[in-house]
Amino acid sequence: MSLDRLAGWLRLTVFVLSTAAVMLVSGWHLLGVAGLLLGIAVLFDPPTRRLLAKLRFWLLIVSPLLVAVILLGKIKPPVFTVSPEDLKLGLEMSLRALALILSVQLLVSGLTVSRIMRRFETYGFKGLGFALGIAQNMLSTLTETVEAIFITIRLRGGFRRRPLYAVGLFLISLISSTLLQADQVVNAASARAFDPSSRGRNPPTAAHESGRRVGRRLPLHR
Amino acid sequence: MKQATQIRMWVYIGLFGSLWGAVEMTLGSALHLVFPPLANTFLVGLIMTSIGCSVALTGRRFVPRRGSILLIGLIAAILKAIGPGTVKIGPMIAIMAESLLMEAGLLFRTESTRWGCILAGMLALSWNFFHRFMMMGLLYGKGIAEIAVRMAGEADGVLGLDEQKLLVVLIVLLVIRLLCGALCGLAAWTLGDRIRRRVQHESR
Repeated sequence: MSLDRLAGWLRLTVFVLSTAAVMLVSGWHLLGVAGLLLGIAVLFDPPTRRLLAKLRFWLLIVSPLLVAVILLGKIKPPVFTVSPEDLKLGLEMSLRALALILSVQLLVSGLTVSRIMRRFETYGFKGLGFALGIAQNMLSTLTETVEAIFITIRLRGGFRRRPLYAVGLFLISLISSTLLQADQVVNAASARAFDPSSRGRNPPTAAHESGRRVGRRLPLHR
Repeated sequence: MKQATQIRMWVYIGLFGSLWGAVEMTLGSALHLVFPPLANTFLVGLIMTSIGCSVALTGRRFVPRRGSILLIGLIAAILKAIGPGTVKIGPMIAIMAESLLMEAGLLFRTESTRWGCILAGMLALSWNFFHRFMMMGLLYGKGIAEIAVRMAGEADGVLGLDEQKLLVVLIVLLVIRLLCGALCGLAAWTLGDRIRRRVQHESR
């Protein structure tokens, strides 16, 4: 079973309630909140489960505890001692960080660009949904463009001889070439009579209407 | 014609949002890998905010409307949210706060001016100073404040750093950010001009 098929509202509810709980409770109650979120993540959310398998994630969670222990502990040879209060402080910080990071992760792991675009269109922000789609699709183009420009400048020795000039040239080339590609997108969208300010679907064009008339005459419709 | 202008506006917002988001997703994640959040007090945020600020202010040169930087920031934050990375809440809050501050810097003119860009850059980079404290407080609670106060007390004994000297250090860190912000604003202004000339030359 996965949280993926359940409503985004469920994820939002979990996020709001867990964040409120983290802000309001302290001490060992934080263990309950963190434990509950950990259980939800392990049982229902594969992307968050993958995050939990990363060592770096646990280093980040454990680091406040280490900071509290190492920086506040007292060295009395041959032992290194730390007071129970400092240990409790470090544990509370770690549990709070764990709960907050998990609650945000559970919220965003259910997000996809297409879902967000649909929400934007539903609430009348069609242009913003369009811009988001453009941004998502441009990521792969950007990667290729960055690679091509970087290699070109590097092969001409730009970064070694005049590094600041080369960086400026890199940025100007990158942005101007993507702007030219963006103009092609604008032309394509204009040709399809896309209207970012309209709510709902675009009205059928003359091309649509003539296509329907031809389609009705085909034997397929009998 | 009006429709094409509107479409162009949204496409450019998507483009610059994509640029900022791509930098956050790639360079941001890589820098956080090298400099873990608790260890890094200065560098990662300064680099990422400088780049984001430059991209957003350059975008404003091509979409000279109030709110365009906010929309560019929103798209970058969404791309960061759905992209790879362990801790996303900090960068997302930073992106939105910086976008709001840049809009505030350019509030009184829709067309950006050189000094407007410089002010917007300074405001955006100033957020980076407060962001560290805010995020630590949000993630770790009042415990981190307690540790910081005790460490400051110990630093006083070991290094001879009293409260006044610590305040000077903090002010220096803030001034460095403001200077970087001014440079980024100026760079965005210059970049915008050169890009516009290059695009016009290539379109002929």
